[in-house]
Amino acid sequence: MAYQAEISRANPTCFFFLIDQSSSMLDPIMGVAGNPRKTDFVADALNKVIQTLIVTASKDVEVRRYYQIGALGYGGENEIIPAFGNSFGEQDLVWIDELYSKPLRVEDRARKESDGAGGFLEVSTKFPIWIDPVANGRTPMCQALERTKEILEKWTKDHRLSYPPTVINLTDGEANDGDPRIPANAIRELATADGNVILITVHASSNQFSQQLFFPDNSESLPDEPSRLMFEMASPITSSMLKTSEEILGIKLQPNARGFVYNAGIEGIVSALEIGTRPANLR
Amino acid sequence: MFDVKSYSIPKNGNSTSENEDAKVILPRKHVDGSSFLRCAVSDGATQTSFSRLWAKLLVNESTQFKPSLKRLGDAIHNAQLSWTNEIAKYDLPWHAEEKVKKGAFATLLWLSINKLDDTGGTYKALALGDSNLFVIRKESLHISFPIQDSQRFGNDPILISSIPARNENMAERINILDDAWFVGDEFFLATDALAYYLLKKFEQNESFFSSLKEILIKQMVHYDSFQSWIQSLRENNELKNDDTTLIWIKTVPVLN
Repeated sequence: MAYQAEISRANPTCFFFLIDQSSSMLDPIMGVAGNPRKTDFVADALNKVIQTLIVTASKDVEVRRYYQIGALGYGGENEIIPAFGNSFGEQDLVWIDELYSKPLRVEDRARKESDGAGGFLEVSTKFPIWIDPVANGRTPMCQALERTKEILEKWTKDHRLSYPPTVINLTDGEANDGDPRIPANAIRELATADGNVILITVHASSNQFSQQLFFPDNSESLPDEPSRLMFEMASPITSSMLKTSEEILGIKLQPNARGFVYNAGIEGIVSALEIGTRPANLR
Repeated sequence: MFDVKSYSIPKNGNSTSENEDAKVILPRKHVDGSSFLRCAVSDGATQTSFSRLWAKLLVNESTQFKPSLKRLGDAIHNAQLSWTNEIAKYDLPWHAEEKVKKGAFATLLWLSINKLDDTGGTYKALALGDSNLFVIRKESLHISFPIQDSQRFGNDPILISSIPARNENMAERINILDDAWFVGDEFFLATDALAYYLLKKFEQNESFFSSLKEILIKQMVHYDSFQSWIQSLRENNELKNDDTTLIWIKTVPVLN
């Protein structure tokens, strides 16, 4: 059975994030004035995801090498940019303990905590930043997918026994450099002995009145060609992701649901990232 | 009266200092002349931090007494205090602090054997989770406790937490066994990987114990031979790659 490999230091897994950095990401999420800009929200959500992955890899006082992480931004004039800035030079993939050691910076943020008497206290908390918001130019999604395929092709050959990589593509629109189904299919065809690479697309909403669709199992309810295309790009979700979805969302998904969230709002993006990155087989 | 052997082997890829199984056998010395024997095994959860320490504290605290619900509460409480105090000595990085807030988790299998006379006595066991006790009588499996069906391994076992608030639903899942034993009975305490293997073998073959005994007589002579047996089972995919612990207690006639 696929997707059963234990994630360990001997057989680590890989998470790969693709971030749409086109200029439309400057708009507020769900198109509601006052909401955070999509680019800011996505960057923050990914920084939290990295924090969570570090905590899951934390063992006593060290961070164990259970995961390698990749992150590419796509935008500008058809540019593919490492989303971790210049911290890691030419490295395509970064070990989770290296990320822990080298954030871009650590910010002080306010967080609400229970005061134990029914109220809340605002406490200052350290918030490491690895990914900054960037938004300008076009949406070269195909190029980004092609580059991801090159990186993961090598990775899957080098890690035959590992739980396969999970790729999460965060976007608010359509590719303007071709048909992304072609490189997406090539990514999904990559495999370790434990299963094929998993590709999840999280589509951030630009319109509060559009219906959010969470992990649909068919494309019939999707409104247009671009959304059906994104559905076709996505992998079927794994049984452990189905389980996590039920736990987080409280709803039972269809067994052949695809890793695709359409018109995701704030909660939708956070939930989709959690479902995609919760390591199910960590021992 | 009691002849005891025990070993614990880390999973492949981990060092001995990363083995999160723990075991204790009391009294530590002069076992032959003792009128009682107490022992425990605990399997610390890999996903949580400081679970090796937690498993060790649980077996140390529990074996101070005979198993009972009251003593279980005391043992967990004392272990929780020690765990918190030990961790307070570290200057933890933020990821470790976050992880510690979730607590450490471990199973507990706790056994006390009392000798009443030269023919035998009583024993009592308490179990939380999927570490398992096997009692062999007349070369056959007499009792498998708390898991009687190998299919039940891996089904989200209850674990004891180092954080009191996380033990709320524990009470209803405590298993207790009271029974008599007779000279010649043998007891095995095993953590889940080996317990699953043994129970499956017992299910497949009623006379499995005689072949197991032959193996154990050879392989439980010292750590290296036990390790090579476990390693061969792992390589043949008969045993899950996990920390593996076994305590083997033989009750033998007193020689006058």
